[in-house]
Amino acid sequence: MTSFTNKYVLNLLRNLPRLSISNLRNNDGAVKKNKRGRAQHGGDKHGHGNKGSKARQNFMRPGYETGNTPFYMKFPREQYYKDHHVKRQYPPLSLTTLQKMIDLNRIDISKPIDLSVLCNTGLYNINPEDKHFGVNLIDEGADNFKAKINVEVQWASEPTIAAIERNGGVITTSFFDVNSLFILINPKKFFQRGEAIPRRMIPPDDAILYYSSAANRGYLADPEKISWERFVLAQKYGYKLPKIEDDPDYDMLVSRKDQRQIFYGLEPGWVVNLKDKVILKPIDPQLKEFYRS
Amino acid sequence: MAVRILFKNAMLRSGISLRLNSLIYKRDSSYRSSPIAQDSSCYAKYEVSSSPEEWKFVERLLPLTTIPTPSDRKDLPSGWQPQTATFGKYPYFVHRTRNHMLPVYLKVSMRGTRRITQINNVDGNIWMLEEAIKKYLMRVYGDKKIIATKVHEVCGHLCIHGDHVSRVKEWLLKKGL
Repeated sequence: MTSFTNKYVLNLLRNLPRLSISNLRNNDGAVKKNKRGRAQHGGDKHGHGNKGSKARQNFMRPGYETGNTPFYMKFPREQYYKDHHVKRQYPPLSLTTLQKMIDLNRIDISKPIDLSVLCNTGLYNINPEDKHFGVNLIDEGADNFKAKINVEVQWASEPTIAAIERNGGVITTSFFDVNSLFILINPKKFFQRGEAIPRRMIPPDDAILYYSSAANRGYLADPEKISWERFVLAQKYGYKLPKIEDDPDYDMLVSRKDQRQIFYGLEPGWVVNLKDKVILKPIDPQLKEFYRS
Repeated sequence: MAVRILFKNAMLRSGISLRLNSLIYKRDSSYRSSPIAQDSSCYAKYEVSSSPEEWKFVERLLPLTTIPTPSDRKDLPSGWQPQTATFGKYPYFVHRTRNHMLPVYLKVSMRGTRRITQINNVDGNIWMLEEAIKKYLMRVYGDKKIIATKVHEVCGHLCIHGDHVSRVKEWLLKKGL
């Protein structure tokens, strides 16, 4: 039996072609085929056409690695700028710029300064559509600041507050909702529309703490606590706090807006007629109650 | 809108006058189609105040129509200085901008690699100004530094290669320009 099989196999081998380099081939599945190149050019142009300045002199955005997973996206990290596009923005205005505006008579310091005064100069502007919620008065030029002002801003740091109070001035941080901001940054345009001045809304939950803090000179803070904080800051920064009570401009320095007021001296519900130079006031008790609440 | 068209068709079929039909062609949020103000008795009651004390608060909210003239004081805390040199003191003159600032700017181009100092509003002999500024900058930086300049005589622009804005401003203020 065995001899017969051997004889058969040997006979087959004798007739088969010899094993050589020409008939060697890999086992099935030993070699993996390359991945399919994506896009029109098989993934070798990286979206920049064929040669030329457009393929070579292009400036990709920082961090882009032509199709690789960029380094900054490879690892989990703390998102420092998370939700930056929905956060409230406060475009800065330095004390240097403010002093320059005052020196060049662009701002009248015998009257209180607020956002509408700053925007009316034409040298500072905000856009509430870009989540701008007002002015951030920054402390650059705090040492050279010499003006005595009553200023209302939306954000201020401690050195800024100190620089203004050292010169006998007063600073308040106050919040305006978007509708009020549009009115405040261009009052003339609003008056021309012939609408009643609306009420100012209270700050949202995440801002109410800032605007009710006496250390930030918030407009919702207790005035007695603010006068205490003024004294504390004077001790901290080492200056003698000028007495507002003895100041000749006392009336200007103590003038403040109500929580519901957008403009100084003009109450919500009033309609300003620029053509006839008169103010229309509602006398309906229900309307009055609405605008007061 | 669709409701209005249906309503219009129904009215046409029933033969209602065209005068009513014209009312149907109404485009919302348009000035022309906005309701005309009626008698004041139709609205909420109000009182008219023409008190000058209250009007002062309105007046301070209206923007200035012209740029105010700055004071002549030289020791202002912001460091701004008025133009003391009169026209004709030098063969050249640099006018202030409408905001009473020095017309010296830094032009950055080529993705931040090219920096050019530009002086605008140059009047008179611009070539003499170029020579004087070049001389001053050579003295500041030394003879080895090349101060390349470009003069646009017609527009009154003088461009200097590199960022020399603060040096040029300093020089202009020293000259009283």
